[in-house]
Amino acid sequence: MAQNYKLNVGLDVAATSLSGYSVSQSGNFSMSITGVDQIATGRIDVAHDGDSTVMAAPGSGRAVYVRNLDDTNFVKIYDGASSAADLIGILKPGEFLFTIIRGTGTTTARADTATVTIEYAAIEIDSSASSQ
Amino acid sequence: MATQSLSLTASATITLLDNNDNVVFSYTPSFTVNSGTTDRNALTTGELLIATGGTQCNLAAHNKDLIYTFVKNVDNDYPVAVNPDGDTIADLKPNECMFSPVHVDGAGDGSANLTLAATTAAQKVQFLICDGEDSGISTDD
Repeated sequence: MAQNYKLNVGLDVAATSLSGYSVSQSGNFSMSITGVDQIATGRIDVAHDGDSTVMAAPGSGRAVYVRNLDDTNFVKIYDGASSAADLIGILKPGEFLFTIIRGTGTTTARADTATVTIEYAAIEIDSSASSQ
Repeated sequence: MATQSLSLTASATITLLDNNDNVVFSYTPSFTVNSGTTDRNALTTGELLIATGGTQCNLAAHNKDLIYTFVKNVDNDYPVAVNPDGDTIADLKPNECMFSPVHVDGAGDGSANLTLAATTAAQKVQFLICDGEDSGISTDD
């Protein structure tokens, strides 16, 4: 029987100019998820000469977190194969992304010049998943 | 040459609980982009009413090669899609938000805007966009 899950997310972003100008934005939500078929989480090495799968194609959509653990090179995260060039984000060393995509594409990663290690979590979400 | 550098700090808490409130995983990433001037032209934030046909965050003053992008759906009804260079990188229902370092100017360096699109009716979003340093990737990504 499919399990129900709750994804709690908080995001905080603050940017500052040397001029003294500073702005920030934050968001917090709790997503109720029913009927999860896939939860993919852990660490993988991502090659630069081929795609690495973060999560196989979901039935409806997914929430995705990826962090680049490398200390030198960046990694690119795609919706689908890298050949389709649907780039979600470019993560330099230490950087992360979090997004929600309500679509059925595979989530893939590809490094640039050398293999990098990423930390990731991807949760399949159902079509009625919503947040408060 | 610009001398007023930009820096950015992003942090998150991401926790999945099962139906017994057991923690399946929990991550708390954080990073700070060191202050720098190269490619860091602009820093903008605000609130927009997004139309169903798409509404653009004007990036004319930004470094389209890398913008740290935060978008939050602050409305009550329908999803909003985040579409840099025509690719959908987020579909946010009310209360949901996303953050990603985004490369906007795909094929031909032609994209000057970050398009946001509501699905059923106009919706409000809040955003923060801060320039980062160009990674140097090819423009067809």
